[in-house]
Amino acid sequence: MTGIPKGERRASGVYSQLAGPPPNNREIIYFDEAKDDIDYVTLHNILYFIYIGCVNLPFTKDGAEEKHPDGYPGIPDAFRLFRSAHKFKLPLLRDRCLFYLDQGLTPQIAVERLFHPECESYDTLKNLYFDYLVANYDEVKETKEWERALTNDDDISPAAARFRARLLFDISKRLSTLAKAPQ
Amino acid sequence: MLYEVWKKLHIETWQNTSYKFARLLLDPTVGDVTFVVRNGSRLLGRLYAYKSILAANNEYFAKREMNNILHLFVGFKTPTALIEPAHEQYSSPHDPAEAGESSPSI
Repeated sequence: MTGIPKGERRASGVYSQLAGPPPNNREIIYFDEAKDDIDYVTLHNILYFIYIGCVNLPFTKDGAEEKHPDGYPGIPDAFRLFRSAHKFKLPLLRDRCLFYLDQGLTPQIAVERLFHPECESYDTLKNLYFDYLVANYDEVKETKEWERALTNDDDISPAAARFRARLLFDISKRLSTLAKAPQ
Repeated sequence: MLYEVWKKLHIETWQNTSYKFARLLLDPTVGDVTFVVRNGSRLLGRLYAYKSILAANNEYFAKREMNNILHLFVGFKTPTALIEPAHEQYSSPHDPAEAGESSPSI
């Protein structure tokens, strides 16, 4: 939180307001705290989607290089856009993000995102990464991301550590079940 | 053939109109709500929108407009809160960039 003048309120928690009577009742909403969990490109995509139903999540690699008109939003972090779509109650956008996230999965990305503390709140995402990880375990176990998750190298909160421990337990349980299953 | 031409024309017209319409998000002279994204005190960008469009197309903003007590989400402000700061002592915006915010040329 930075120097907010008297008369303003925060976006997080309650709301924000420009100091002094806003001209023409224009309301100002600030997003500037970690818990807002949104950046400029993400917000631009969210508003763009609400306005005209489009976002800049290219379906192909060529799509990323496609030229867009002035004012078109940049390519967002799909994971963050998914979280924002959830928060802003945009199920269509959430599904669009999910599709995008599913398409670009690699063992590294799956591990990194599954063990991301934010993943805990989204069962759909958690299941997506969990299933991918189990299905591709032979590749996953060779990645640095997996090593980091196992050795708890990241500086994370106790709650995030518990989430990780739970995940590791569930993964080992699933792998063990699969190993026992008749071929 | 004619149908294809019509379809192409329709899509292009729609897209061009949409883009023009959506470009308003970047125009500080329009809209009745400004979204300011900052990293600490560093301004990352502003976006401008019409509450009515947001409310018409999105449940989050619709509820925000209609339900005075619903401000569970980030950025929610009740009509009461719009009036409330009038009781507080005003001070000037905290950075020059924000100062420009107070007088959008509508």
